Amino acid sequence: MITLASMGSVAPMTPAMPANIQVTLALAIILFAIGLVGFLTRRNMILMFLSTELMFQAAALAFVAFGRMWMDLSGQLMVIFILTVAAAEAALALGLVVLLYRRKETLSSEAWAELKE
Amino acid sequence: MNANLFYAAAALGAVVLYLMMEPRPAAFRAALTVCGLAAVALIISAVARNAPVPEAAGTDPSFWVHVMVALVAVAGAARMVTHPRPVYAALYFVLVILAVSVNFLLLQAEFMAFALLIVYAGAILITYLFVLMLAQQSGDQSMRGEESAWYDRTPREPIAALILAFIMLSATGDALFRRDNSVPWLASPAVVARANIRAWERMEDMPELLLRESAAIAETAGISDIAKLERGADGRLISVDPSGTTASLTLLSTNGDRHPITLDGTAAPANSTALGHALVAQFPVSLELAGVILLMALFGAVVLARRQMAMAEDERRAAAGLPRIDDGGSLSRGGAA
Amino acid sequence: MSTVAIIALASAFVTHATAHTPTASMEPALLTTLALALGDGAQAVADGHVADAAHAVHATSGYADVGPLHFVKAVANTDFAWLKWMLLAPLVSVILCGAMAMFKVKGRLPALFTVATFGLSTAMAIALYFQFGPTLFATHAPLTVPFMDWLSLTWGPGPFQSFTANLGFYIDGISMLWMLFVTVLATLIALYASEYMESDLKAGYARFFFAVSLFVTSMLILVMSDNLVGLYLGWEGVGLCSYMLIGYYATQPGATAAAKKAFIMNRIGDLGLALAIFLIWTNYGTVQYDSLFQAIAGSTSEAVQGGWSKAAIPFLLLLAVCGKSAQGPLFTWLPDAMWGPTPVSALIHAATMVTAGIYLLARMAPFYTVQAIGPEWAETALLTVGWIGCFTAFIGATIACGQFDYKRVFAYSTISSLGYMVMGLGVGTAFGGVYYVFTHAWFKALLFLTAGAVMHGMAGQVDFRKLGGLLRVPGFRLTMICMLLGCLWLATAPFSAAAESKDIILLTALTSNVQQVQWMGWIGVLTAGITAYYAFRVWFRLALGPVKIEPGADQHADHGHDDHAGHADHAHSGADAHAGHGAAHGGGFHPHAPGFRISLVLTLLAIGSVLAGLPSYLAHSQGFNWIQRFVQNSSAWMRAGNSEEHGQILGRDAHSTLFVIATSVVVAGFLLAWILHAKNRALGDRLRASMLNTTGLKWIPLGSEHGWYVDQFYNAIIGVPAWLGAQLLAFTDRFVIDGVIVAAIGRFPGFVARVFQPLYTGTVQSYALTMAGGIGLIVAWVVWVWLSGGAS
Repeated sequence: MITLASMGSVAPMTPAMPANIQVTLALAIILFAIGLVGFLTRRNMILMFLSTELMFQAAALAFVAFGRMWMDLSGQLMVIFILTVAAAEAALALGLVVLLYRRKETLSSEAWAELKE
Repeated sequence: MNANLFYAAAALGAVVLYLMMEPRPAAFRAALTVCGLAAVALIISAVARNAPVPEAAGTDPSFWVHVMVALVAVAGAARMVTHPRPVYAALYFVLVILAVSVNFLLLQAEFMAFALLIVYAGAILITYLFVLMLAQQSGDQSMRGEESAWYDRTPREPIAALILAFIMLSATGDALFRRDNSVPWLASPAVVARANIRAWERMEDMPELLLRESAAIAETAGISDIAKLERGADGRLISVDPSGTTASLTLLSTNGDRHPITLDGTAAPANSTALGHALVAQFPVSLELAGVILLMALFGAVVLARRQMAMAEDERRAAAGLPRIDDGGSLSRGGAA
Repeated sequence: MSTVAIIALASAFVTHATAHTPTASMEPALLTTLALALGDGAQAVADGHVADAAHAVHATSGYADVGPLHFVKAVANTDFAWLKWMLLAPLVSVILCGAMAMFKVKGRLPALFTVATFGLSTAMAIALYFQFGPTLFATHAPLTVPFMDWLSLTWGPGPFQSFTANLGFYIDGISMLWMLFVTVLATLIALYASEYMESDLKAGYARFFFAVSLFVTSMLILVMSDNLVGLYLGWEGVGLCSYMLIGYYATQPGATAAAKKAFIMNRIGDLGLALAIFLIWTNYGTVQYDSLFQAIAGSTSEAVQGGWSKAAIPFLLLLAVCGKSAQGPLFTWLPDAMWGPTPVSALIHAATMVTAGIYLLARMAPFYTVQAIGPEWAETALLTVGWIGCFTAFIGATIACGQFDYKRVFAYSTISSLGYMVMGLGVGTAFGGVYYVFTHAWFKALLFLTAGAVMHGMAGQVDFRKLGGLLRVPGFRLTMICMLLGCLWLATAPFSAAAESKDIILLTALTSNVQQVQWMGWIGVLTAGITAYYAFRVWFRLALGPVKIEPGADQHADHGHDDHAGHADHAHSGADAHAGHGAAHGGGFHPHAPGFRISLVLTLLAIGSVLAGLPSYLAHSQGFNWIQRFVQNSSAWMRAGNSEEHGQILGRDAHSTLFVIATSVVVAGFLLAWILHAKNRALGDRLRASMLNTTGLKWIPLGSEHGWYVDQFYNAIIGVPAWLGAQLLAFTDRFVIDGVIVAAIGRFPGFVARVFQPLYTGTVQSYALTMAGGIGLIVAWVVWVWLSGGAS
């Protein structure tokens, strides 16, 4: 009978401290709120998108924290997909911003108000 | 009590954020920084004091790392949304990414932590910076000699945005102060056991890895002629004890000797291995869809980035690989088809 | 009254006159003809006549109360299944002509199909007469032939729990008579039309014959059907064809207006028929003639006291008759129907379709008895029928006196004649009415076709003041002689077929023991005089005097000769044509004499008109009247109509007195026309001018010329209020509904939008703020309300 006696009897995964999880979640919601404020107050189109990235980070943080709490990998997997969407969004959004910038030579989102009647 | 403290701190944070939106003198900025960090600290303390503390836990040193990381992240985020110069804002965002990565590490999400660093800080943010610099370099008319454009210095409807953000923060934060048992802030033994058993079962799907690792362990015990793993009566390679702490398996030597082995958590697959397994085993369709989304984004970016050019008929024909129209005009439109 | 004076005048020079004697010398020749006409049917006479006499006994017992009713039950006989081909033959023509109209096939094929299939139907009608006639006259049992299932519903075992209206045939005397003259006349007139319509060869030839074929099909369904629903189908079918043919020249607004007018007027009548059918089913539980008549015969007069739903039936039927036969208040459509091609006027609006109302009255005669509706209403219903007919006859005749369009004169004369027929039914002689239908069909078709021939030749000229002396124009002699015959018959010249039939009506009316019916008779006599005047007014103007031709230049809408290449050039040749209208050949206009087919048809119709009197001429030698025998073997035969034993008129023998009176009146009218329109036209014109200048008399010529302003009256009481109502509704629609309600509803969103428009700045963040605000509210609600256990 061979055992890994050197390490003692450790389980593959151990439960997280509730305080750690809660602090992480608090960080997530604060980041989300700040990202929201950034999206609503910044006039620079690039920074607006950057603020959405911040909100993505908040969501990713919450996913990972809950995954840690439930000791499940799905939370981290969701972050992979968030990353995917964020990358795709960044590519398209920046392409659009470049196009718009070429038209009006400004990054201000208020230069584009044609949706108004 | 804790909730009220939370709301007060959130309000303070909102005020600080509002004041940060306009350029301020250095002393004022320092005061704001202190106040903002205090607000975040108050929130964290309200949350942490509210968190259930398991009897046997004692003080976890990683908690303070969490707090530090949170302070850094919030500070970076606040600066990011208020800094008048976009490039600095992007750089502050890198700071947030770094803090979040550390947080991921603390949450035992090592793969995601590094993936975040590489993909976000390394790729996406660099793209943003490129675009920013592209735009700034070409000399925005609205800069008028300032170091940043007017639209970067003037926030848009900050009061409404902050009130809204405060409501969102209060509402979501309030969920942290709920005292019903439906949220197992501390994982119950059953949850722990199930998670561990699932971790061991991942090994079952990776027999090569299992054999290699078990052989390595056996070699430390002086057994080197391991041929393969023996399958149990239930057709499984390993059997996990009900608590999920350890797993046992049997190695077969080339001469047919059987060597039972007991594994503990150190032999379980690492985070990246487990994540890769879960990605392929649990979410194959989503994985494919993610690939499609990326491909479409690639196409979209190509289409958007292409410069629209006005081409004459001949040039268009040439671009389409059709013969040019000769001077005699014998070929009319579509005549070559 | 003036009538009395005329009678006295006539009595002075008419020395010998009875209704019986004239046939004596002609008998041998006429007998031969009769044998041809009747064939084997004559053998069955003896038995039939005895039974008829039995009927006649009942007939004398009262005006509306004819004693116990008895109808011989119909016998079904599938040996006559070939009768369906009588319907299907014209239907084949309908399909072929319709297809040719659809695919715009040019050529004379449609006429060929139509004439051929009509001829086939005629042959079958005659064959039916020879095969079934003897049986009918011997047994008095009508024939029923099932054809195909149509409506057959049953929802319970009880008497009022089933509804059967299959397509089947009910052949008795009157339906056989109608089948005979409808098919014969339709064949002749289709032959006439094949030449008359050639000017339309490129445009509407196939369409015309399509409608004519459909008309004959519908008419045959109308008279052959064994139930009221089938009759209604045919009734509506002929109405539709009438509409299509009146509006045949659809490019002319007047034609389409006339078509609509005819259709709407007919719809009013059709409503009456539909309601009558509903009421008949509600009261008797059947719409099949056979069971219906048995049900009426089975009821007694005491059983039907009161009961508006039964009493309304005859009046609703009368409304239907008024629509279809242009009676009483609904007659104004018929003059306007002359916008259609002349063959149509002859066939549909003179000879056949308009007599459908008479057919309906004769067929539904049992409903005008005390057994059907009770004594209090039966006499009223009959008197209403009589008065409507009498009134229409008089009004139609007076209007005809004031018209200058000879086709309209004939149209009003048709209204007047139809009034006579309805009056005949109303005064109680179905025989008289039906006989007059028969004779009228011939001579009126003849009159219209001669009128059409004149129009055809004179480039559409319909004003007889612009024509004259046509008797001396080459090619028109035959036409004018035929028209003379028609006018004589229309004027009920003594011994003519028309006189023989009309006298039966007048005789019955004048000898009635009901005072009102006698008045109707006297008005009828007066009308006969007026009829003689206006009939010869037309003929004298057209035929006699100096030759005078003003071509109509084809612009008159009655006559769509625009494409007539043959002589349109002449007609349009301008001043020459008008300069030379003193002599037919002097100017550029050459009258287009009728061709072979028209002449043939006119001749045949003239012969038919003459022969139509035969049944009466031979009645005494034969012992029966051929037409009367038809009527006696039908549902119409229930009351007085046998003119043999009559009372007295003015204290003298009925027959001779009536002959004297009627002849005097007719001769007076004739002489008046002769003086005013042949001998001294200037006097006639001066008389008219002086009447127009005299305030007290102005209304007579003006009112007569304008149809007593009935159209204007209808316009005033219906058209103007409807127009005012429409204006009111339009105003309401425009200003109240559109202006207030719709605009309020429509502008409300706009108003709301203007209130909230400041929110729509067009910038992304404002939308994001709104969206995030919504999400924030939802999250707040979820966390603070929902997760907190609701509102508690």
